[in-house]
Amino acid sequence: MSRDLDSNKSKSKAILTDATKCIGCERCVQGCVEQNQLPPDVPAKFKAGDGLSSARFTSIVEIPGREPETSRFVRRQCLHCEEPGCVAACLVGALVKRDDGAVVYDADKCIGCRYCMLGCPFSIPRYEYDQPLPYIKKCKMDETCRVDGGAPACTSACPTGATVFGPHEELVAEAKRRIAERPDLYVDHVWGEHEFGGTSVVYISDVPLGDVLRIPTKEEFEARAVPSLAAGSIPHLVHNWVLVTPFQFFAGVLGLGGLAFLRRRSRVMAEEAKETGTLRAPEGEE
Amino acid sequence: MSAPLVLRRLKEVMWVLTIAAVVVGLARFAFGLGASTNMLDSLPWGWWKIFNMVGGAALATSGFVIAAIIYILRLTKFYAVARLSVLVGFLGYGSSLAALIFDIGLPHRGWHPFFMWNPHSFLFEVFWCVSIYWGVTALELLPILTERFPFPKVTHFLHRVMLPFVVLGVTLSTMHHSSLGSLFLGSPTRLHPLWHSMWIPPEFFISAMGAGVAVLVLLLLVLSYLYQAVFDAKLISRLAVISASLLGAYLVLKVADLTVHDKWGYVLGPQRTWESHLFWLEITLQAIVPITIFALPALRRRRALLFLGASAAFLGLVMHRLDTGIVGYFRTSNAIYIPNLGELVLSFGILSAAGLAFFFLIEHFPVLKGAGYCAVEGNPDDPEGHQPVPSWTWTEARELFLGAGARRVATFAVIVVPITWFGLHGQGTSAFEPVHAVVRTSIQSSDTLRTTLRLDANGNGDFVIFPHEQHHEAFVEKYGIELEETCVKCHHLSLPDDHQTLCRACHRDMEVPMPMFRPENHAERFESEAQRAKFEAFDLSDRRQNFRACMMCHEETMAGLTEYREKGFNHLAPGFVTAMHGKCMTCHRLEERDPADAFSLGNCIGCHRWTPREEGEELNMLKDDEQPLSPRIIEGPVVIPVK
Repeated sequence: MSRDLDSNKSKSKAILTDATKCIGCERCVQGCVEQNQLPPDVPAKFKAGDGLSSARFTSIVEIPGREPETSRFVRRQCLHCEEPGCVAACLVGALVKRDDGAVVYDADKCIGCRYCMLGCPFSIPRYEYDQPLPYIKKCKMDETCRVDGGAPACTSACPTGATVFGPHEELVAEAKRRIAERPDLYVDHVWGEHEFGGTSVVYISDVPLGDVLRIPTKEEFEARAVPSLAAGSIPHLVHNWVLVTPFQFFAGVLGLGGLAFLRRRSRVMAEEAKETGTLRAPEGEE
Repeated sequence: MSAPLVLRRLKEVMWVLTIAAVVVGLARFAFGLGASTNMLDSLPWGWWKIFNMVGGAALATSGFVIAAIIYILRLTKFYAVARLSVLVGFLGYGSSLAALIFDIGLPHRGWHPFFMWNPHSFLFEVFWCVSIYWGVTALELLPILTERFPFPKVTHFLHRVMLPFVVLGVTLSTMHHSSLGSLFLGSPTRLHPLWHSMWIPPEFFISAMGAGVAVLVLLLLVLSYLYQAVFDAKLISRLAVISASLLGAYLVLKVADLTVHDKWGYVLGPQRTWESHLFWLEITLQAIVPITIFALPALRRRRALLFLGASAAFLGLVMHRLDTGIVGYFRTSNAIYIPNLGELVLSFGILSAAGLAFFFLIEHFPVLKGAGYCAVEGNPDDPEGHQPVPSWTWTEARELFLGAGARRVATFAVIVVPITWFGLHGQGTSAFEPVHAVVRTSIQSSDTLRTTLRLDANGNGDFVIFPHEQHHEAFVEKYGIELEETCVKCHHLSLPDDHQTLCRACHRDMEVPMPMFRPENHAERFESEAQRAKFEAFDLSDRRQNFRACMMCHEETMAGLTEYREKGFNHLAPGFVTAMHGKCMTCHRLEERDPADAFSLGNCIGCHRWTPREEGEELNMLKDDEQPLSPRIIEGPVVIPVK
C-alpha cells in the first residue's frame, strides 16, 4: 500500500452518482452490457439481491419510498477504492489499483480462491459459479469500458446526467458544490469521500445511501470497534498484523531454535550428571 | 458390538464416504461450483474452506504443539504421542489441502502463489506456511515409514537432521494459525462484531492449539476403545491439562476482547440477537465445558467425562470457525448459506480417506511406538514382540493391497457410485439436471415445452412457468413473426435468460423504446382522445411519473391462480396472465364496455397482434375477419422441465 495517494489523485478518474437525478431507467446497465458484450444474466440462484452478478457489473437498486415518486434509485458498481480490500486480499496480485483510478483484474493470474469477494467491504466481486472454469467478474472502469476513448459506457448512456465520469478531485468538488447549492435537498455527505480510505466512485443523495452502498456511518464504525475506517482503509487497518508476519518468522526461528539448543544442552548435561543413560534422547538416537 | 467389529464397521462407513466423495468430486469438476455447492456471491466461502481448511488445520495443531513440547522444551514425557501427533498433523493438513483443490475455482493454477506474490495478503502467507508446513510434517513422518523398511542409515540420518525442521515447522504454525484468523480481519463491516475483532489472530492461534491437544486426547480415548489399547492415563491427563490451560488462555483473551472493544452489548445487552445465543453455545462448548473437565482432577480422571470434554472442545472449535467464517456474515449479506449434501459428502469423504490412511498407518507402521499397548494382530508395537519391525515381503504386500479388503472395497464402489450419482440428481440444489416443476395452468399447451421462463411475478419467491414455446408457435403460426424478434426484445432486454423475473424488472423500463412497449405507440392505441390526452399528460421519461401513469390503469389484478409444485412444496401463484398481463387486461376489459374504447385490448391478440419487428414498420392490426387468439384449456398436470 505504498501508493502516493495525493499525487495520484490528480491523475485519477472517478465517477460521481447523484441519486436525486437517477430515474432508474437502467440505461447504464444496458450500456455496460453492450460495451462489455456481457452474456445473458445468470440464474437468480447465483445472484445476491442487489442485481450484480458475474454477467452484470452494474445495477440499479431501488430505495422504495412511501409514494412511487419518493423512490430513489442507486447505482451499484465497483467503488474502485483508493486502497482496496480486494487488492490487499488477492494472494497472487491479480487485482491491481491503477493510477487512473481503476481497480482491474488479471484473469490470467487468478486461482479462484474468492478471497477478494470476502475482502471487499461492499461485496462487489462476483463469481462465475455457473462455469466449470470460473473467474471473478467486476466493474472495470478501464479503457475497455470507454466509448470512443472518453467516458465509460455506463456514464455515457445516462440520459439525466445522474452518473458522470471525470477527474477525481473535480468530481468531489462538484459533489460538494451541489450540496452547498441545495442544502435543503441533499444530505450533507459525500459517500465514498473518506470512508474506507476514500473511493473513486462517490455518491450524493437526498436520502441516506449507507445501507445500499454498504458504507456504514461513523457511529456504526464505532459500534463495530473499527472507528478508523471512517477515514482509513481496510489494508491500513490490518497493516500492523501484516508487519507482524516477518517478525514472527525470525522471532520463531531464532527464539525456538535458541530455546531448543539451550534445552538440549541442559538435558545432555543433566544426563551426563546422572550417568545413567536410561533417558532416551527424543531424536531417537537409540 | 465388540470393539473390533465397531472398527470394521467404521472403516466400511469410511470407505463408502470416500467412494461417494470421489463421485461428488468428479461431478464438481464436470459441472462447476454453482452446480455442486450452495455457495453464493454474497457468501463466497463455504463449508469446504471454513470447515475443512480453517477448521481442519486448527484441529491438526497437535502436530506442532507436541513437537514443540518434545523437541524444543525437551519434555520427553510426551514422546509417546510424538508420532501420533505428527501423523495427525500430516493427515489433517493433507485433507485440508485436498478439500481446497475442490474448493478453488482454478485448481490447476494452485502453484501460482509460489511465483506471483502479494505479501500484503494474509492468504498468501497462509498458503506459503501451510504448504511448507505440510512438507515439514511429511518429513517428520518419514522416519516412521523408513523404520518399516531395511534402511537404518536413512532413518538415522532423518533423526539427526530433524531438529531444524521441527523449529521451522513450529514457527510456520504459529504464523499461519494466526493468519488463518487474520483472513477475517479484512471484513470488519461484514462480519458480525461478536466474531470480528482486531484480536482474531492470537485468538485463532491459541484456540487452535487448545483444541488440537483436546483432539489428541479424544483420539487416544477412541483408539484405546477401538484397539483395546492401554495408554498411559497420566499422559492423557497431562495432555488434558495442557489443553485446559490453552483454552483458558483463549477464554481470558476472548473476555478481554469483548471488554476492551466494548462488545458485551452484543452478548448480553441491547444489541442481543440470535447470534448471541450461538456465541454462548460456542463458548460453552469451546472453552467452558472442556476447561471445567480438564482442569479438575476429579473430573478428568473419569474417562466418560474426559471424552465429553474433548468432544466439546472439538465441536466448539468447529463451531467457532464456522461462525467466524460463514454464519457471522449472514446478517450483513442478507443471505443464508447451508452446505448441500454433495458438499458434506465430499468434505467428510476426504476426512474419511484421511481416517483410513490413519488406521492403515497405525496398524502397519510403528506410529504408536512407546505410546501404549496395541492389540492388533501384526502390530509392530506388540509388547510380546519387542523385535525390530520386519519389512514386508512381496506376498505380504500383495495381500495387503489387493487382498480380501480390496475386494470388499471394490464391491462397495459398485454399490456406492450409482447411489451417489443418483443422489446428486435428486438433490434440489443440484444443477445436474433441470428442476422439474409440475404445472397446471389455465393457459397451457399440452405439448412438452422446451423453453420456459420462470416468472416471479410478485417478487415473493413464488414462480410461474411461462411457456415460451407455446407463444413462439402461436406467433409463427398466426403472424409469421419469429420469437426472437418480438417478446425477447422486450422481456429480455435487461434480463436475458433470467429464470426468475419480477414484473417490475420489465415494466419499469417502459420509457425505453422497445417494440412491445413504446410510449408513443401506446398512446396511438387509444381511440378516445380523452384517454390519449390522459396518457400523454404523463412525462414517461420521468420514472416517478411513469409509475403513476401505469398505476392508474394497471391497478387491479385479474383473478386466476396457477398451482405448481417445486422441490416438493405446493404453491399458489398468480397465473401468467395475471402476472404479466393482468394489469393491462383488467383495465382494457373495463374499457371495452365503453363503445368508444372498443379496441380489442381485452384479448391477448389485442397486444400480441401488435408487435412490429422494426422501428417504423407497419402495425400488424387485427383484421375484421380474424378471430382473436383464444387460450387453450387443458386438464391435469403437465411436467415441464425448467431449463
